[in-house]
Amino acid sequence: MIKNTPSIDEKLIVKLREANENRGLWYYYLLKTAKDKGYDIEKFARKGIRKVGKSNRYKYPDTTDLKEFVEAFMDDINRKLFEMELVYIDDKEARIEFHYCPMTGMWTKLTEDQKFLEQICDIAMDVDRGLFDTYNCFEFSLGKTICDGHKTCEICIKKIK
Amino acid sequence: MIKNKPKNYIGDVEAEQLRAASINRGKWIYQIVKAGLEVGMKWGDIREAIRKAGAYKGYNSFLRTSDLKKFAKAFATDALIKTNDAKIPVLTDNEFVWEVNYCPLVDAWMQYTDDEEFIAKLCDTCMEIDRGTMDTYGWSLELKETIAGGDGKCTICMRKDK
Repeated sequence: MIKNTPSIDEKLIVKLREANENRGLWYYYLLKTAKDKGYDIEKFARKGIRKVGKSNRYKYPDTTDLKEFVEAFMDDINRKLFEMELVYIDDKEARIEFHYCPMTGMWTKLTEDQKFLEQICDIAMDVDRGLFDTYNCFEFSLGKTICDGHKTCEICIKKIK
Repeated sequence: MIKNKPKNYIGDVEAEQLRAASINRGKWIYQIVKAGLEVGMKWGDIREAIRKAGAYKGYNSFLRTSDLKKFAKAFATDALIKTNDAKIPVLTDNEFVWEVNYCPLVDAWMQYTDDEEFIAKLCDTCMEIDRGTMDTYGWSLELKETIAGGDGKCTICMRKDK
């Protein structure tokens, strides 16, 4: 059972949440229609989303300092939009939990197909994997997720060089 | 030659954040579509997907009404007006004209390609979102001018005379 309820009600964040739910709407129907028509979304959608992630690099600092990177990753808007919590950080590792996902907020209005939800969530996370492809010094991993029925999405970023 | 620079709400934090969110959506659309086409997806498949998203909006995001003016009020939120630097030059019982002077999706696509023919095709495909919404009311949509087509603005006519 997916639990995904936002708690921040700032006017700007509510509007941005709606904008990101809208992204979730487009994404859902593009992938659902493709899958229903027999196209392999694992093959093409992952490739596409990973490219988006790589192209987002310009928004982040050229740094090998994990704390500096995390500060940018958790900027004020992202922190509030995804209700991010920095649960641990040192020079080598950062663990962040997302308490709300606007994309999942839309997808759960559209389907109860748990397997498909988990699949499109993991494909969407290729946006972060793509971003981390552009850093030699950091490694990204995804733990439990809201789409899997966990109360938060768990992100781990490790400094590897 | 595509011209797509916002003229209003410059420096408005809300407008800039909303535009950034829509640019991000544009990037996702572009790369999914591009990757889909590479594995053999047809433009018609993509149109169908977006039209379904538009129908969802018609049934769930806007009020169910036979009054085009009430629909226009629900459609043209402050957030959308700011995001798209938009105006409503005509609003009668039978016609709602939505003028878009900045498109964040085109902005996103131009970050990936200068192939204006592809951008114009992707733009028309994405307009299935509003066509899909119009279908749910039994109304029509005519796209008179487009930023992606080089017109400097989009003029979208929604009419009850279908």
